[in-house]
Amino acid sequence: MVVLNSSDEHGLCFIESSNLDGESNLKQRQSVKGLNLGLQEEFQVTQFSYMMEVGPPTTKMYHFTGTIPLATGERVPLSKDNLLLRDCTLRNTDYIEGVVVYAGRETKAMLNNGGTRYKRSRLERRMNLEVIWCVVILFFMCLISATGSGLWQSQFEVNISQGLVPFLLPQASGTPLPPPRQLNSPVWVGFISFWTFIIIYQVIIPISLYVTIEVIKLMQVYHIHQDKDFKDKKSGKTIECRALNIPEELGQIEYVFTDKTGTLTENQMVFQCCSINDVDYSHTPIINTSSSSSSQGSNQQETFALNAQLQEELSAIELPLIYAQPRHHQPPAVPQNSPQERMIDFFLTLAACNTVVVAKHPHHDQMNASGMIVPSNSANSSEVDNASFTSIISNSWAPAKVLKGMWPFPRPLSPIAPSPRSTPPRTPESSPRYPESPSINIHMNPIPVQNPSHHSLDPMPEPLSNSPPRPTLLNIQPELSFQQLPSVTPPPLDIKPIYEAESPDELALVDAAYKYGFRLLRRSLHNILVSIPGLGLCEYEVLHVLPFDSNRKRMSIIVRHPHTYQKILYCKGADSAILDNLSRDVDEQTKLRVFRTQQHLNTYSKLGLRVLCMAKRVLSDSEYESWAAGHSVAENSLGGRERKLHDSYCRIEKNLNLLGATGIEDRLQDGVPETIQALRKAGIVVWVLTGDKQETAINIAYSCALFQPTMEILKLNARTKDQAERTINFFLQQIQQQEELRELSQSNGECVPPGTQSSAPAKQRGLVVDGRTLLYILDRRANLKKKFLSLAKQCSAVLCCRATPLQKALIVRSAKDSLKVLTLAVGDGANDVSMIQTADVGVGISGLEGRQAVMASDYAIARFRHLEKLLLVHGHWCYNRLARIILYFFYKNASFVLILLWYQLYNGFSGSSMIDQMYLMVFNLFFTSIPPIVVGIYDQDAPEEVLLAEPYLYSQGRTSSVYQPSTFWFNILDALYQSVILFFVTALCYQESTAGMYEFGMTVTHACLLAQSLHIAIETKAWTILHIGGLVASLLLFYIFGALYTATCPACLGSPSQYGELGHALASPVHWLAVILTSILAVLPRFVVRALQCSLNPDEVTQALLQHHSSRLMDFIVSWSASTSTSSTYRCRDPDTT
Amino acid sequence: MSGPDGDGVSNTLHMRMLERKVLILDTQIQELKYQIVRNEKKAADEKRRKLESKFNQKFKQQRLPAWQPILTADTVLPAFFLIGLLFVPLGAALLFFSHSVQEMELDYTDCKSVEAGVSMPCSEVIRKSNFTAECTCQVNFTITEPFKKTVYLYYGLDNFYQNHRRYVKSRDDNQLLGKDITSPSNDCNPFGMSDGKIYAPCGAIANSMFNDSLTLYDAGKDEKLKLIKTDIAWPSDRKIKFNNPPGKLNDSEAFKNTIKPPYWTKNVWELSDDPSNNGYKNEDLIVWMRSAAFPTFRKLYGKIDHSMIGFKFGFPKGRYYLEVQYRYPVDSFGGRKRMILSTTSFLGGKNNFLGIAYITVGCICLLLGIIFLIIHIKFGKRAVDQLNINQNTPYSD
Repeated sequence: MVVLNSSDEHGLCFIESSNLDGESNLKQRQSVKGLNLGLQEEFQVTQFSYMMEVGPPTTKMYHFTGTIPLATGERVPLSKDNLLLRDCTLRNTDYIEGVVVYAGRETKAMLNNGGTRYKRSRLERRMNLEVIWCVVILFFMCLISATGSGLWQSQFEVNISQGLVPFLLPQASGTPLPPPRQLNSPVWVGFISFWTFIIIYQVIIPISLYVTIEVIKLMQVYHIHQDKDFKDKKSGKTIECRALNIPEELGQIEYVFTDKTGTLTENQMVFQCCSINDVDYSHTPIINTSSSSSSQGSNQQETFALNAQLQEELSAIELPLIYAQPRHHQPPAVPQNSPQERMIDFFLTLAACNTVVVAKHPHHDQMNASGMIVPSNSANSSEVDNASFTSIISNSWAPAKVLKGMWPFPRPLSPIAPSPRSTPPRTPESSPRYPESPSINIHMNPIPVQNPSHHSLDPMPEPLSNSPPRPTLLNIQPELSFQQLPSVTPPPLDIKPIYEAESPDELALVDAAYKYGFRLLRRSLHNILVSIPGLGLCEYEVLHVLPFDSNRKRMSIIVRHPHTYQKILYCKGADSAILDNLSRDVDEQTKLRVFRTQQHLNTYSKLGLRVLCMAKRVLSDSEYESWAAGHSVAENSLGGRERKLHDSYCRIEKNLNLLGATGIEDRLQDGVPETIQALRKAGIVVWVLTGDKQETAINIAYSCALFQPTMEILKLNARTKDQAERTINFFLQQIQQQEELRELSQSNGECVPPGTQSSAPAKQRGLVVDGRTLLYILDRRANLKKKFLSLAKQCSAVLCCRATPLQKALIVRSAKDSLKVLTLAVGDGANDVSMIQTADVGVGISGLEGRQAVMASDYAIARFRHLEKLLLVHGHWCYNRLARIILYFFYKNASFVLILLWYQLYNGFSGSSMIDQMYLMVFNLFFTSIPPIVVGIYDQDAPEEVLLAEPYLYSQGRTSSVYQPSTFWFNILDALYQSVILFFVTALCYQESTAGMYEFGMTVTHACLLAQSLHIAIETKAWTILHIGGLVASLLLFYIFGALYTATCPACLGSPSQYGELGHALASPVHWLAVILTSILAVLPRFVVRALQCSLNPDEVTQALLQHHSSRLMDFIVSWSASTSTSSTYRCRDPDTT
Repeated sequence: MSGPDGDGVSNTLHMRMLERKVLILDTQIQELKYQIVRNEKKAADEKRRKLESKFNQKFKQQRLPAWQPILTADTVLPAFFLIGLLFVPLGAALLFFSHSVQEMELDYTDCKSVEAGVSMPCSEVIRKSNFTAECTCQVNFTITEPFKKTVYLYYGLDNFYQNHRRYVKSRDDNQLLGKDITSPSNDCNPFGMSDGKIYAPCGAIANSMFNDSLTLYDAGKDEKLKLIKTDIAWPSDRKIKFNNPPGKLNDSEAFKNTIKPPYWTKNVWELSDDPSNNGYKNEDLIVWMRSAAFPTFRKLYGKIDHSMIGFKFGFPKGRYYLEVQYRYPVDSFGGRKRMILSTTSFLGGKNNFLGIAYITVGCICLLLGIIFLIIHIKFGKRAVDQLNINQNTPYSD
């Protein structure tokens, strides 16, 4: 729908698109400009008669182009800013009027809906291959049977045609007369019976397997979904399984690609440092760990104490003086470069250059349910303002109360001083959320800035050695600074508005500016209202907003100064994006300033902070005019608009004047180092792909245990293609030499006891690649990919910094395709979407940065640490279960069909079966389907504790050791053996007896059912009541079905009646003796092999289990024998010491 | 006059009031009872719900109490010994039972016609007459050991594929149930109908029914041994699966509009003189209609009547001969025909296989048990060793 008019005077409206992409922040949309609609007093729908040209419906949510050709020949461009998508909710807007451009199936919501990607897991691909083998087996079985049929028929050839063989019916039906000879010729009979056999033997192709697997996966996913451990207490979010068909892939992951921001880190930005005028101001964070604010709008749970020095300097600036100056000489030839002004501009950039939506108070809809506009009650709203105003004051001046965990930022209406008129609906729900306890927590958690694991990594690696000692920056006692806070903070003049931003960085910056008095109060499309300390309110006119994109890595805003009427471009962006575009012709002082700032930036990034640079450029009118003209052309173009806009943006974002830099802290999430450690122990190679600076990234890599201090770090920072190639080759050679050396030492050390051998393990290496080198590596012409990957293979951890989203995806793809590994990508933001989609398994973190990643992912988890359990426990289980079940199904179907094949030897290959049609149908469907489903869903080859404690057990899935081609053939062999036993032993039991065909069939069916049940019982690793229930149910089903079927139907269903068969069989001792003998004999080899495996050559999981059991037993013994309770915790494995 | 009337009125009023009170009390009591019951139910419900939710939680979190057996040598040992110790004696018992069965088998396929002047096998006689002639032959046999009772007479066929796919299906269960059918099932073709008349019974199985008559004679006394021809089929078949159509068993009532199958010499209502053993209920037919599992099979023909003199305790030893009304051709498919006299055990006929198999499997299990015992003694501690090695593996630190 294209917006034409809205209740807002500027034609703005706000939408929330949480249904579409989950982003709960407000987005601004505007009505179409330039239609001369403003001339009319009021928008009249009936008078709107224009052509509208829009692009064809696409799935791209954030892409829309179109024009409205006017009668004058002009074309009014339409963009995504004019478009409201289906499923969006209108917010803070009373009404809108517009034209529907896409409807029904053509809406973007619907178009995006359809394509659920079908991912096929590695296990399933493997399985499909085996199914093809089954087809081959089927073909051969049919061929053999058909040949047999022909040969058998040939011995009666003459007599059949004369109708002399009583048990052979002439092929032609209708008359008892002898039919034409060729119809009974062996060849023809063989040909016909070939097709008959295909129908009979088709059970060997496990169609039911596919259905069963889907059921199993569904239930597995259900249980993953139900797992309480995946619930994040803070946000209340839990795991979200969006892909139902690949849970077993989680157990086979070899490579994990993870984003850093928001994935490894909290993505809760706290303004940490800023550098203005080459002075570094640091801030101490105050962490409100336990503040459990509501899941929505809880953008800021942490904040910082103001820097006193900066505070003082700021208040010392004589603002009016500065702003009075420019009025005299206008336009200014040279932009003023006083440090004070830069400071002001710096904060202005923080406050203004963003896409934050400001809402003063919760929107009260002025349109009532019937669509009538109700004038707002001004008295009421002012009351609200006053009430919240007082509450803010009381909050900021009463630290004790603030400490109670009611940090007021997200909410204008504090629960402390609730205004009775405005807050009643809020109070009851919000007050219980803030328990009394948090006041202690702040004191207990004084330094949460850097993860505690930092201290354990003490010998700081080389790149960090020259960094300033961190504690100086961080070790300010938060308590102390917090107490200073009220005295320095100027009392707020107005209520704090609600800020809603697309990214938390922006929020942190706006928030920081707010705290220093630069309050962003209102923001519309055309102007920004900022309150500047000492100057009061300033309304800037916004001329252009050059939005952020990942290529430019910066955003800019062009405003007109309210007093000087200067056109100023404020730019905020990544350091590289800004520093490269600084104006070249500057004096030494500025150069020095830039240099110092760069130093600060390096320091910040070494501390693991996200750095942003602020820059400014004063545009002359002519400059601006010429650019604006070009820009509007770019805006109006239909083809390649995005590229043209990009060029246009780059044209104006030059010759910038550096204002300063900020460092925003992004805390590591809980448990990240542990998780990464566990993943690495599990043999999973972890790659971190981030857009951050190399220093930041390396630092984070150390703190999250990706890199260990013992590791050798290889850095690839090539500036040219050749250099990249040379470096890679050099590293490869070096590694090879090292390997040779190690091998040499190992071969020498053969005679030494094995204990020393492990003392010289392979040296672990970490690889760091930067974005530019990646560019060369991923360049298809360079042929470097293979070398790079072989280098990366030698490294246990890889870190790619400065990677663009596309590069991330390309890395994942190249690893997936060239190394033939199973990849998993974790990410939280829109920039990870392509990576998530490329990887075999995409995991989205449902964090703060919208839901695009979640939408693209297969699994969405709340925290990175949940990955550990997801992979090591659930993935392991799912893989293990499914692999065993698939094998079991192949065995099950093959053994059943082979029994039928053996019977052909005794019935002249006629395709007859001793098992009734009905049993043939339901045997696989009901009798033997429940236990495998139960095992597939609930069996645990090792309990959760063991799997988490011994991450290396994951290698079982990683190396696909449960299900390999050989195991498939072993299972088929086992099926062959079992079918032979089941059939021939039973046949021998019934030899020379009066047994009827169906009596024999009943015995074989019963024996087969028991054998298959015993088989799955052997394969069951952990018995629960469900397993027993499943087995009992399937046996009961057999008896109940048999009882019903053979007792009710003397003549039905067209096949020979089964009346009384089961009862007769069960009453005969031979039946039972045969069933018991054959079923036990059938599973005996498997039982023996399993027992031999477990006792002579146990696999890793069994070993771990044994260890677990014995340690538990030892625990028990120790605690039992020792009288003191302290010794019970001592785990003793050596019996001598007990 | 008004007094008693008024009294009556007041009485009735009083009664009514009382009744009402009682009623109210009753309802109150009931309500109370109901409440108690409800409360009890509630409590029980709550208890159950609590239990359920506990189970549910455990179930959902996949933390149900589990027993995790590891099939190490020591855990599987008892299983092997148990199976072995159970199977070997069982097998021995089975073997004993099998040996207790006495059996005598007589192949009469090629027996010679007894008719004077014809010195060729009966099979040739009937083939020459194009399967219309009847041929009688006799086969002598001697019983050296007396059989214990009860002795059964079986006929056996070799190489007769009663389990052939199309043959097995070639029957109409509805017809055999005695239902009035106008046309037989298509499965019966080509032995379904002929000239508008239904074959009774239809289908290839019935058509090919074994129709040799077997009679045993005591050679010394030249006396016919009596055979009981009833109770030789399954009771369920006799009672439910096979029924004659309503009416007298002749071609005008029960079997009207039917003809005999092409290979048959008699009509279906002429199979026996015993009316309860005639028509579709003829037990020879019922026995034949139950398809055998293998091409070599035997079917019960009759039981020796042990009420005969000398047969009270079984089948005495002596010389006997079998007289066969030879009608059934088998040489066209290379078949053989046999007569079997046999006693039974609870296992049925003679079958040594089960006993041998049980003993073998039991021995294998015992052997495996011993092997695992050795493994356990020799390598049992290895698990502990591996634990220690495990700690030095590069994975764990």
